[in-house]
Amino acid sequence: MVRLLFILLFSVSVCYGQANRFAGFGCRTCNCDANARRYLDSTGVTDTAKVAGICNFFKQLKDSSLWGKAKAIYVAIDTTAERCKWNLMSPTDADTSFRLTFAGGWTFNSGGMWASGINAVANTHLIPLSVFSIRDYAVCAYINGGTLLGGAAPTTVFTHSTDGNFNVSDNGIVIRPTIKAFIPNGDAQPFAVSSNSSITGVFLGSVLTTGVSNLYKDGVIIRSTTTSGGALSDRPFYLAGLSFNPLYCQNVKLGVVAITVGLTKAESQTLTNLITILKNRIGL
Amino acid sequence: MRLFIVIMFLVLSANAGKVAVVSKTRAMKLKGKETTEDLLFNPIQDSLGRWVISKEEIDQLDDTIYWYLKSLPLIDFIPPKDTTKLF
Repeated sequence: MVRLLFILLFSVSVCYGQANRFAGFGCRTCNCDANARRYLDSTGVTDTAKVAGICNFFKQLKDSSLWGKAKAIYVAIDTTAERCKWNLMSPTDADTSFRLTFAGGWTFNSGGMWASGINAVANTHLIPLSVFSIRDYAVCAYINGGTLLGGAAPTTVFTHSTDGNFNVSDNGIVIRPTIKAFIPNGDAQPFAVSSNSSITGVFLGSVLTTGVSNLYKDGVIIRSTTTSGGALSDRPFYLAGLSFNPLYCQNVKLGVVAITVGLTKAESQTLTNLITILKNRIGL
Repeated sequence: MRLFIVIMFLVLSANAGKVAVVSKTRAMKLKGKETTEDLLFNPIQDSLGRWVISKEEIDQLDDTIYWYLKSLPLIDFIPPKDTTKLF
């Protein structure tokens, strides 16, 4: 009788444990995959909606072809630099993991990481020349605020030469009030420029080894060009400007930034969709 | 026309942002130090060559050794003139 009671109790406890595990009851991250849990542990975020949104984002990245292509993804997950600095793809506190280093007048709120346009920049530590092959990368930014003005020549996610001037090895996207540009391999080569006047949305520039370079706004191509030659920068991508030169600083509110290898049109649209779902779920 | 110019001036002024002027020596000492966790000072030079730090950096200070910065007067930031020819 006692033995039967033990067996019965054991069975009930096992079933209850399994049920909890699958239902996620009492455990916000139980249904998350290991990479998502690592990111959430690093950020310290416990808000139920944000945890669910991040877990879903990771799942969808892995279900698509994007997981193997992304090098760095930054999400304005919370209201401090300490929590927003992490690279989803490698959430360790090191430059080699492309963790952001924020400097200058940033403010952080539930809507995004807001650069002042005076001296706020963030170093990704991701150097295109070290990470990508020529004409095979993409840069994406979900912008949800800011004037996009600031310094005299503001840039959004961009590299620069050591002298701080635009030159033959600049890479990245420049999203200004009336001009949008993706410069894949230096400004001496043909690059995609559009006179689109939107100041919010998901902007994505991608170049493929074929030389086809596309600039997207919310998944729609707003400019396409073909490029050749050029170079990748030996300087890291900076968010919202350049550390030592206020000329390039931009007043911009960033919700999500992603840097990946070159994306096809379908992949670019998928990434845009995933970012849109994420920002809706976590309230960016 | 005059009204348009006045409005444009006000709009640009409002977008300029506020900064506090510091000495070059002070700027060099502040550069790279934390204003708050994981956010570093980034002193820069304005169009007149003055070293400045932004209001946002001052607002977020949590180390008492920098609290003297809170007493500095704030002025409008004037960005340097664009010498690039990207577009």
